Amino acid sequence: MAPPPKRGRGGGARGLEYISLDGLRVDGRLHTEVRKIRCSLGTLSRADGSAYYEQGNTRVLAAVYGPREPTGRDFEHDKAIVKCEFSTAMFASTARRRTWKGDRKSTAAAIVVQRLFEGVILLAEYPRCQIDIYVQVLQNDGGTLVAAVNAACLALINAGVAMSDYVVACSVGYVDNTFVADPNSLESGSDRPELTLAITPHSGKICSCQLVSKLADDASFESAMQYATAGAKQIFQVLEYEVKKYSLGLLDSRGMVAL
Amino acid sequence: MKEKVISLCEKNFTIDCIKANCRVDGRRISEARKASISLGPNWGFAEVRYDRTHAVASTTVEAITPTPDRGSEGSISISVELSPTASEPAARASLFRNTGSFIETRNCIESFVRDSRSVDTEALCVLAGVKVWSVRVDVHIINDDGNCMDACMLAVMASLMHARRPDVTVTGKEVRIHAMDEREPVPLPVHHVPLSATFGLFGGGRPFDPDTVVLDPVKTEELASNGSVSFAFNSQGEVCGVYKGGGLPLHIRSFEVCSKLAATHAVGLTAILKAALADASAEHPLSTVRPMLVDAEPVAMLAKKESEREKLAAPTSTWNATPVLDTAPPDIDAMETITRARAVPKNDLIDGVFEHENEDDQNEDMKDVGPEEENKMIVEKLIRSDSESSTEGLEAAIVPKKQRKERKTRRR
Amino acid sequence: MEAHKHSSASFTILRPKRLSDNAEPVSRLSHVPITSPGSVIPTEDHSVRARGTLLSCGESGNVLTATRAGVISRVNKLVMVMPLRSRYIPETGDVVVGRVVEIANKRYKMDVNATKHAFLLLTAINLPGGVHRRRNQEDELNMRQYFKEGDLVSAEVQERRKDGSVALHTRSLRYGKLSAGQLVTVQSELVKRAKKHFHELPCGVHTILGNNGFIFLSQTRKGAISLEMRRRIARVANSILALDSEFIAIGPDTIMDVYQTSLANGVEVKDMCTPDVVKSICVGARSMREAA
Repeated sequence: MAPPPKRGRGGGARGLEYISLDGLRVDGRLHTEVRKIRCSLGTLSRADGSAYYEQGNTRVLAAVYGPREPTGRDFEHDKAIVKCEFSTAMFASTARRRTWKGDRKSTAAAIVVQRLFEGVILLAEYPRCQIDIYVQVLQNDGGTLVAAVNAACLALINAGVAMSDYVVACSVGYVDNTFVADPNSLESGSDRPELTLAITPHSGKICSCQLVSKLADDASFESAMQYATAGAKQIFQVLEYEVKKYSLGLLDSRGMVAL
Repeated sequence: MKEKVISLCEKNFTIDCIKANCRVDGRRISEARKASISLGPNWGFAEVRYDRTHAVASTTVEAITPTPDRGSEGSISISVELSPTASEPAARASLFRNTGSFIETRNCIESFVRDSRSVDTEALCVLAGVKVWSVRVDVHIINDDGNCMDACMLAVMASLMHARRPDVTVTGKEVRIHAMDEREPVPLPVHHVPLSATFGLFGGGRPFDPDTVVLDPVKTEELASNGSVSFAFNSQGEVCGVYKGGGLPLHIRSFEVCSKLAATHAVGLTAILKAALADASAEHPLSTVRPMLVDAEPVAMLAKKESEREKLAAPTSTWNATPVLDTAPPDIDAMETITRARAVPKNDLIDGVFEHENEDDQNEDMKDVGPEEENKMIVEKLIRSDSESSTEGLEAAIVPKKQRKERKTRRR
Repeated sequence: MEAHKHSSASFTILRPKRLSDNAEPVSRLSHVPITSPGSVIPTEDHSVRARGTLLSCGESGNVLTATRAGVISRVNKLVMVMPLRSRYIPETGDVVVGRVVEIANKRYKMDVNATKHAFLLLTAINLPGGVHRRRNQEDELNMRQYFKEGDLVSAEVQERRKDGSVALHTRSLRYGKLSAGQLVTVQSELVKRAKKHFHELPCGVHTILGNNGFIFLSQTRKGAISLEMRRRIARVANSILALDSEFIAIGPDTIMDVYQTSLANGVEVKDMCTPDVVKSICVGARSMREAA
């Protein structure tokens, strides 16, 4: 996607107002509101676990294969290894991309997702195994890393991989001198601070945190973290409900067959 | 690269040491190693040591034609390479470029430097659409003893602050770039100096387990840890970036502790960096590592520096000497005895370094010294007055191209 | 969540068919103690924790949390979480159909759809001719004569070692290399442990129901397979796949029920895979399952 034209802080070069006088954003949300989430588990029949996740206009598909035999030479004798691949479809952004795998942003995102789940999956339960996570971005409207983390979490739950907790991610942007939760592509410009946070919701611990660009002081960093944590908890409620619904639906269709 | 292994016994011992607040090298968990910086004979060459972790950075500046969509901005790019000398796994992996952890380090540093606008890319524009400066920083990790991230970050910032680009005259649509010895080279537009602090994370990993954070982990600690988090702060207390790429989930209280520690650590590092910049002229032969020269120094200049070196009583650090444990700022009194001979008045610095100085004095100064000595004197003035004023002095010295140009025209 | 249907012959990536959209199961089955990772499991004192749980020391004592999405099951003092979905977990005595992946030091590595490859020791196979002797160097060199990479083998799980590795054996005449047949892969939970795994269906198709979800279909009598037999095998295969997509336990009775229903409804073999047809032919099997 062509980067948005450079704008100074607080209002756009073309007079684009990110937050209107009523306090509503470009898409009508409040500054603490996260985009609408729709997701489903078990979408791909051939994968061990899969999930489809939509957050506003960002759409992501995640698939998990494993735990299974390691495909390459590297394996750990006492725990599983996690491999992740992050790719963006060529039709995902407004301008058709030339590469869909292997560029810097994708590898960076893949490393973040891999390290994140290495900390949450109970690797010691699967010695000498490999867990592969594949994330495919189908439509990019900002917050792809957030969507990738959430989708991968659902896919891992679908695959029955042992995890210590959910992992829920949320991002916070900064437009017109206010923090906004879950910025879309319009609101997340190249020179604006953006905080992406992934937490384990039950214990409130921080799994991953990335702050891009600088914030004025420590207090604003803390308030950005609070926004992100609140947003993540909102997202967690949706994910938990979805997992519960899926589980009950599965049990229902099985007629409570002995598991 | 399979950066393996630490034996179980070493791992358990390291963790026990951390719990007892006396780490394997005797530090406390919130104590960092002393950083020592030496700035090379060439502009933009910086060498950073954190005891045994050793990183070397070099900045090169090139004038290029900009891409159409970013016509009025220069660019800055950073590359981090793990030299095969760094560690045994690195030597084995030197054939393979793809080392996951150094991709992370590089992305992290680029994000801290570029996205926090520490180097003003707009000021790197010479003529919009025609010529811009492209700054490239190459970092090599010579020896990896843990915490390469911080060493690289410090090396990058030291290198950027020490670097100089050729002076340029723009007349209408014509751009004329002067050679480095023709006109005094100009420093890069560095607005603020983000410096990072990395913490190793230790803990059980289960939902309600407590966790421990350790500032500036050594290699053994890094291998025994469950992840790391890096914070970049500048000396004004602004948070310039945070990177926690997974690993152990960390309690939010530990996170806050880390950020406070990182803020104070950055202030300390900035002081060391400033002191090193004051020691900026070539006192380090560094004959074994010769990066691409930004400007070729005539031999006469080197000889002059040799004689000067003997005059200075301050201890110098050389390549083969024992590692410098502490960078005391160079002996200011010794320097003053030399410079007093040139009758430079001591001034209070306000914004705009040179506006209040005596013009005659300046001209007298500038006549008989070369660019190297001139810079040294200017920086010395700053250091002396810097103890009273804040960092504005240092940053003001770096930015004002205009004043320098005015001075030069006066000189003519 | 809407399914994106642009035309009748389209591809929906969104939900599997069996998941109902309404909140009915949520309310109807609200008594079922399902859990998901990180949720706290209420326990009594002296509970013994088993698979699927994690004990951690919180501020107020020990806390037991779940690690998977599943149903909490309590048997006396044992607390565990039965996962809803997982790969096949081999147990001693299971009959499995595996594929040889690698020939290693005196053993064959077999893919049995589990988290790790199982292995079949050279000493655990029947030598051709039913000879009983110690395996010697020559046998080791001739391993490829018995089974090669890519062969399908039916075997039984001998034991599950402490390090998690699984040993198979083919120490019975009914186990061994499989040939001239079709493999159908289903979810491993659907094939229950039973007395018999080798069935001869009335239609003349011989099935091996592997506990790991690999089902092998072939012809009962030896010789060339006729066209009619091929059609029957295909119909049985499609019946099994229909049962799989409806998540109904797979056994000879349910397979035959679907087979007969499809014949009675006059469904062509190739049409048996479309979702509507699948639903209609599985009606009987579903009621059979519910009655049981």
